[in-house]
Amino acid sequence: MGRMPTHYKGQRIIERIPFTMGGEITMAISTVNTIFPDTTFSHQEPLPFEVHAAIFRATTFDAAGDMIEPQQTTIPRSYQIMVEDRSTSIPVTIRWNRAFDLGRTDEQETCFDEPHTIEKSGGFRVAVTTGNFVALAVPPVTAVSRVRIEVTFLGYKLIFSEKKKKAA
Amino acid sequence: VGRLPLQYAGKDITLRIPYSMTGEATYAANLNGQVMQDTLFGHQMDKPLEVHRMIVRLTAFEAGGAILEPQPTTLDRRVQIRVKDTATGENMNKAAQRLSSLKKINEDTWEWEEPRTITKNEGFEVSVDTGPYNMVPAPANATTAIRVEVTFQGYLIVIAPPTETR
Repeated sequence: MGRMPTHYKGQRIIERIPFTMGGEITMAISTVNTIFPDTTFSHQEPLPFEVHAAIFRATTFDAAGDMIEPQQTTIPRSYQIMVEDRSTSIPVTIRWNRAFDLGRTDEQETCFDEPHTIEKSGGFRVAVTTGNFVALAVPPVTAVSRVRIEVTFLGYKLIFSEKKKKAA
Repeated sequence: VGRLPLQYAGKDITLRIPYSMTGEATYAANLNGQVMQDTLFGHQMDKPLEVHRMIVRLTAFEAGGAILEPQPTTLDRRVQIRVKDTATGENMNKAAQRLSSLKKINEDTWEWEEPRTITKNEGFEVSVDTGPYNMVPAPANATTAIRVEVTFQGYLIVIAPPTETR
């Protein structure tokens, strides 16, 4: 669990409503720098969104569009993510990161111990590069044709008290 | 476990009683906006409910109504949910949220480190979208229905009387 600030921009936080901003995009394998539409991870509500974590998942399909069952265990090693804070244009990842390398192994969640708060019209730009998903296994696994990248930012919408915190 | 506040609405919390509010419904493939019965997740007790997590589990059935054994491993990639806080009218998801990208792998729950407290007649509205259930390689028994099992888990809280010092 990350830090739970008592204030945001001088206003006292009196209530938090759990909130997720999720989006997904389906693409072919071996594609480079596919960017999610800006609206997908753009916060459009009046209450600020205090982001505590990001989750990256991928689901693979065969050429007919059927989901592969079971999913390969190596999927998180086969695609890379780049994230940028749209409000400040500051990269959250300095270069391409494999999903496998983001987050604790047991949780597979990127935890922001210091939460990052975004306001209305703020958000994230997320880009994806996919590998070829070829895996050598016995018996052979179903060939991957398309992959759905699923990204979620988790946290809380903030509700403030009427009174502003006094200046120190 | 998340934070355990000392107070609610300005009054000391003196006791917590573990409590779960649960409900389930079964859905065929390719459905959108299926709202689970609203009484399932409406809180009807006098004591406030401090919710610490939402648990969503899925169970697959074949056409004859039998539970599949073993269960497919990709169920949570086929179902999306939306949750609305009826106390404030606020949506708790920007868009339909796929279960596979909602939960930590090891816990399989949506943890609310900052608990959300609801009072009598408040609660949550949960709606469900399902995708196609087909899978490859084709299994011996196809999945034809998925039971969505939702639990809001936390504590009923007992708060100190208004006149604490007598």
